[in-house]
Parts: sequence; C-alpha cells; structure tokens
Amino acid sequence: MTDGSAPLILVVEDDAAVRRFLRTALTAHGYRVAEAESAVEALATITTAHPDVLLLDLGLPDRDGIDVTREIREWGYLPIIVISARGREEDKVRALEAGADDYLTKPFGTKELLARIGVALRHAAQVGAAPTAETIDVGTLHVDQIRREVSVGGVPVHLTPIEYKLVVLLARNAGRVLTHHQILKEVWGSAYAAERHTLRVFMMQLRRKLEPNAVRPQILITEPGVGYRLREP
Amino acid sequence: MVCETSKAPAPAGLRHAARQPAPHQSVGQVRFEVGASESGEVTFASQGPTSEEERAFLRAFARQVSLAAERARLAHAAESASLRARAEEARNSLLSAVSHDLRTPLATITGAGTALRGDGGQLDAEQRVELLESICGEAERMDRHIEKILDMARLGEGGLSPAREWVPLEEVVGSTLDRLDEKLIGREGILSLPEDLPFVWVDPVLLEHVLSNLIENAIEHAGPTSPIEICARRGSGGFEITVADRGPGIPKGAEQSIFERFVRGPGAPGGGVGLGLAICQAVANAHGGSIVGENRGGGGAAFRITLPLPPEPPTTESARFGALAGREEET
Repeated sequence: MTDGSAPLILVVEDDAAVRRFLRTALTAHGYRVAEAESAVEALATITTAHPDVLLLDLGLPDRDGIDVTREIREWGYLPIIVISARGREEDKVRALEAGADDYLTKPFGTKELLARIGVALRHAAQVGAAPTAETIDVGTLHVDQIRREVSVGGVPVHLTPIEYKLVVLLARNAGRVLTHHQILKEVWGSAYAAERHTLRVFMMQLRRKLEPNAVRPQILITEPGVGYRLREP
Repeated sequence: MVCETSKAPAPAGLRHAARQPAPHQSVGQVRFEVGASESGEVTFASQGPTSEEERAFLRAFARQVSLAAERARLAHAAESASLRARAEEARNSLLSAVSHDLRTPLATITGAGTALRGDGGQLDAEQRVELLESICGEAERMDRHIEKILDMARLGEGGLSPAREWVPLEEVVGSTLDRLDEKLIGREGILSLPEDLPFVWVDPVLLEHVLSNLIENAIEHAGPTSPIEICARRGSGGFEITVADRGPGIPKGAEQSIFERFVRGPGAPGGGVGLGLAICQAVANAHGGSIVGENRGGGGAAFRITLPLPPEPPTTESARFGALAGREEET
C-alpha cells in the first residue's frame, strides 16, 4: 500500500500498544510511519527523516510534550497533532497555544485520526503555497477574498467587517480548532485577547447569518472550553 | 474572686502573664481531668484566704468544666468517626463502581477480541462484524464511565469553583446537541430558549456536562419514541433550564435518591455508572443553584436546574458587548 512518496507520519509515543495500533492503522491507509519513544528520539528523527506530520503524545518519559511542541515551532512549520489521555479543556488550550495544530483525546477512533491527519496535511500545503488564495470553499461556504463576499449554498450573506475577518480566519483553518485567545488576537488584536464574551457575541451573530438553525450549527462548531472550529463536510 | 480555666498543658509563662494577681490577693488552682488523657486547671485569685465553702464551689465548678470538655471531646471524636465512615463508604462505592462498571464492558471486549484472535474460520462474516461492533461499542461505554467517574472525583470534594463566563445559552445547548448528535438521530427534539435572556453566567464546560447527562438519561430511560424537550426561562427562583421526556417517569419515592452517587434508576438498559445525576447536582450546587426531578402531567420525567440570576444585570454586559462590537456598517 505504501510507496516512497506517501506522507511520512512520525509517531511519538512511549506506549508500545498505542504505537502498534497507529502503525497498523496508518500503513493500512497508505501512510509511511516512523516511530519515536522519547522527545530526544523524536527531535533527532525530525531532522533526519523530515516527517510530514507529527503525532505527539504529551506524557513522554524525558520531556513534556508541550515543551517539545514549542521547540519544534521555533524551527519552522511541521503539523503537530497531539494525542493525549489528558482530556481537560485547559490541557487542550495549552497544547494548541503552544503551537499544536490539533488535539485528539485518547481513546480515539481511526476514522477521526485519519480525518485530522488529512486536515493537517492540507493545511501544511496551504502554508507553503501563495499567502492568500482568491477564494476559499468549505462545503457550502464560499469566500471570495477579492470581492470580500461570502455566500452559503450560493446565497450571498452580508457580513460586517469583523464578521468577515472571523469567517476568513476560520475558513483558512477549516477543520482545525482555534482557541478563543488565538481568534481574538487575530481578529481584534492582542489588547482584546481576554474578551471571550465579545467573541461569543460575534459567533452568535455569525451563526444567525450562516446557519439555517443557529442552535444546531453545522458549520461553526463550538469546542466547549477551547474555542471554535469551522467544520469540513 | 476571679477565675480562669485552662486546659493543660498550657505554657506556664503564658498563664502567669495572663493573670497577675494584685497585691493582697491569694492565688490557687484546682486541677481537673478530661477523660483519661487530658487534664486542666482552674486558676483563681481572691482577696484574703479562701473559705472551705469557696473551695467546694471551685471544685464543683472544675467538675462542670471537666464534664463539658469531655462532652466536646466525645462529640468531636464521633464526628470524625462518621466523616471517616462516609469517606470509607464513598471509597467502597467508587471501588465497586470502578470494578463493576469498567469490568463489565471490558469483559465483552476481551471476550470478543479473543474470539476473533482464535478464529480459525468458524466465524462467518456477520458474526465477525457483530464481535467488532461489540468491541467498539463497549469501549465507548467504558470511556463514558471513566469520564463520569473523573467528573465526580473532581466535583466530589466540594472544592470546585466553576470558571464562570457570560455564555449564550444557545451555544451551550448547541454544543451539547452536537456532541450527542449520533444518539439523537431520528428523535423529535423540542427546543424553547428565551429571546430576552440569551446569556447565562455559568461555567460552559460544566453546564454542557449537565445538559448532556440529562439528555443521555432521557434517551436511555424514555424509550426510542419519546421526544426530548429542552426549555429555558426566567423563573421566580432564578434562571431555569428543564430537560423533559415522555418516558415512564421517575419511580414514586425515588425523586431524591436518584441524585445520590452510584444510585441507578430502574430499567437503565445501557447500565450507567449511576453518577450522571449526582454530577448534575454537584454542578448545580457549585453554581449556587439546585436541581429537581419530577414527573410531568401526561407522563414523563422533567429535570429542572435552577441557577441564580447573574450578580449584575446582563444588560450592563450587553452594553459592553455593544461598545466593543463597534458600530459596524455592513459591507
């Protein structure tokens, strides 16, 4: 199933059973897999094997995964998906703000894992490409960045400048969770990074404009205690 | 005559400093015992020598002090014994819940897993799929149990202070329904959220756990055809959120006990841990609110959480939202 050009996934995990399950599932779906049991081994493998995606356990024997994430971020862009048994919201927020692309709480299913890897790979391809595409399409959502127009299912939606900035940010990161803090910093600036209720008000307004039923959102998904994610269909 | 009592061993210097007899006073002490291990003394000072009558009074006084101290000591011992017993009981229930509720799904996983590993071609395709489904299903059930046990452990100590924020109720309800999406397929849901009070002052993560526990309960107990109603309104005692179904309702007399830890409602087909409602109550209490379960006219159960209205009126906050939102023109 695998060939030399398939994306290489580096699995950084000290538990042998989890490594085995990941190796089996990933190779069966056409990925190449490299493994590391510690942070030191992981950092060495990154420089020698140049993986495309990192699956990173937070509870490594030698170093905390959050520190490892920060260090890798200083080098440049490599998608990091945290896989951790720590399921509390504050753990997720810490990892995402340290630079992780995504966070999967153990236990997770293969389907979920493959979906997140797909998102991470697509996002990495965008980071390398032109800074801004002219249009962004996610499911029924269409964003025209030249005309600054947004439509859902072909129906134009009128947005305020801040609402537009929010949609563009979330759409560029489709499938990924952005924390409240990250969104506030991007859209309003650092001075407003603590104004979570402001963000909530805007998300509520935005849902009223983009979603057929704002209480059952299909596009703008709340990650309770963490942030928001624009859902990929 | 001036008296003071102290429980020995009190530092001698301190006692001395506390009551320095004036000139022409005589000082005396009457010792008394408290139980077998402690003793105390009554120190007194009087003008001139003490009479036999005064000394008898002091001995009687010391006896009374001794009895009072002994009663207090015994009450304290009884209280800590009952606290220990309650902690022990909680520990035992937790252990039995962990062993039973985690081992039961694990038994299926182990059984189905070994059956697949040992299969030499006896199983047909349908049987293999069945075994795989039970492995995945039971693993999910185990995960849900673990989450509830962890929730309870965090909440159980009573030291939890909710991380409150202004949250649109519709966002909390929305994320709860999203999380339960698969379980709600094909079921009628009736939502009634107030237009005039969109924001609540709560810990959004905890409130989501409460709502999903209540909705999961309704799914589990009310049968596949019962609609689930979620309704919120401003009530006399605060802000009320109700989750109601049209199932068999709460058994008579069980309206209180269902909120206790590890108490399961009868006929829970999925076999929960018996922690869902205890978690709901702990969260409601942590918010200064309450939760009640009652039967509805026309059949079914309704669980109503009442949360105190925000300390400051939401309109003040809304004004702030407005200011920050800026008076934007639409593009």
